[in-house]
Amino acid sequence: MINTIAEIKNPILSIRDLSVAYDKNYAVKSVSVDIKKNAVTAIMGPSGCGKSTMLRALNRMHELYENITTTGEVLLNNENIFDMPAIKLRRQMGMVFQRPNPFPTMSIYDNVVAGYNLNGIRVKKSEKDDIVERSLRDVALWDEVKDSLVKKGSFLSGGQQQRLCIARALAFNPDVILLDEPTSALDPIATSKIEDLLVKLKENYTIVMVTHNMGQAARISDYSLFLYLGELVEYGKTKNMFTTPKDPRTEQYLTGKFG
Amino acid sequence: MTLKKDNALLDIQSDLESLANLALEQMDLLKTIINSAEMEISKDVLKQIEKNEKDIDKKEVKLSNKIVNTIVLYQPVASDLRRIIASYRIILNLERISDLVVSITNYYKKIETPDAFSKMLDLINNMTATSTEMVRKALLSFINNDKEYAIWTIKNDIVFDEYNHKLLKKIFAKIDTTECDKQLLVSIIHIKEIMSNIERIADHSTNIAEAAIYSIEGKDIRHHKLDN
Repeated sequence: MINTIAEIKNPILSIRDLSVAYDKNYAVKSVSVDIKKNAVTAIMGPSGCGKSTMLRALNRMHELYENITTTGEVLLNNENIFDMPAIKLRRQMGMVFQRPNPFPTMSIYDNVVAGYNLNGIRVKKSEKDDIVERSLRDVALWDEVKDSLVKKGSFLSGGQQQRLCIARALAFNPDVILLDEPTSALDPIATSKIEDLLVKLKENYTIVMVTHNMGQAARISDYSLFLYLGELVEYGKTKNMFTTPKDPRTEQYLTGKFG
Repeated sequence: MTLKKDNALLDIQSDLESLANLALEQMDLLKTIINSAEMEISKDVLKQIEKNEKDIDKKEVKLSNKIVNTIVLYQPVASDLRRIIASYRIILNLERISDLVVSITNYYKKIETPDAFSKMLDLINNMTATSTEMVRKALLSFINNDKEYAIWTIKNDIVFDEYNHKLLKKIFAKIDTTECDKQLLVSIIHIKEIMSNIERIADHSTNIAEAAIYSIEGKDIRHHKLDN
């Protein structure tokens, strides 16, 4: 693995020897990397290289499946994520998926505070109101929906739905937001709005994003990871990786020789 | 997308080589003029220099546009990006080299004391030959992805600067300075301009070499000393 960054001081996430296997077939092989706080880190690579598998491992989603084993260590603010309750982890590390998935039977308001309601976390109405407004303002959706918070989330456009899902993740004021190809199902304008949003959000959150779209990674990420066949091949500042990649495999991927 | 991008890049490379050949032809024509030791430039040679200059100007504009279009349409990255940026830098330098050749021929025509020029002929010949070789090697470095030729060019530029400085002293040493001749002074000025323009050609060849190194290694060594 080529790491072109000398050292990340006080990383928010420290990943050491992370491996994920589906029935003993390794999809992620011994990945070690530090993720910088308040930055956008893009995980890139060809289809099937383990990007989404790695991201889901950070959220401990693989624990739902018996045939998937995860090994290694992931420290979030110096605490091992595999030692903490999953609910606590998911408050600190929110996740947004490729297809916008607001809960179809819930209102916009209830979608934002779904995490609290579904986990039986009691919060005063006034606090909930504040959480909803703050989260929707953070995703630039408040002005568009403030007069229709009782409407179902599914009535929103694709881009608005995705922003609602991000707001839902933000409701717990997480440290990290994980996004798995968050714009691949959206039109170009909605994509552009989400990209602008992510750049703005990094002021207060750390963003880790899987993307197939190299242009997107180049436009909005500060750091890039290149995965190939489950291995971390190269990690560095996006601008350096995109102009002078060090590993020939990175060079070939970026110049379209494979992928 | 890759096929179209690759074809666009090959097209740019092909046009650049065509432009480079024209610039080298300009340098060879200049060598012909100086080697001839005749103060009268052959009409055919002049005509060819002017024709090449027009062709180079047209190609520079066309190629610049192709480069911009390729960047917009295909968003090249990594080595593709470096190569295209280096190509852009090189075409600007090649166009300037051709301008300088035309400029040299204009000063050449204005020399009124052939005797003064003939005393400097060997030195100017050497300067022209060296600068032509520098341009040639710098271009080969880029076309063949060969760093060594680029390094040779950059190192010779330093030698060239000293060469030019010494030549100025020799001008006054070789010419009888007791002769206060207005015509002679004017000729000396024009000879000096010819030498300065040749030196600038050498500078442009260094720029081409630096662009080649950027393309090959991703290092921008402009305004840096080369490690020995």
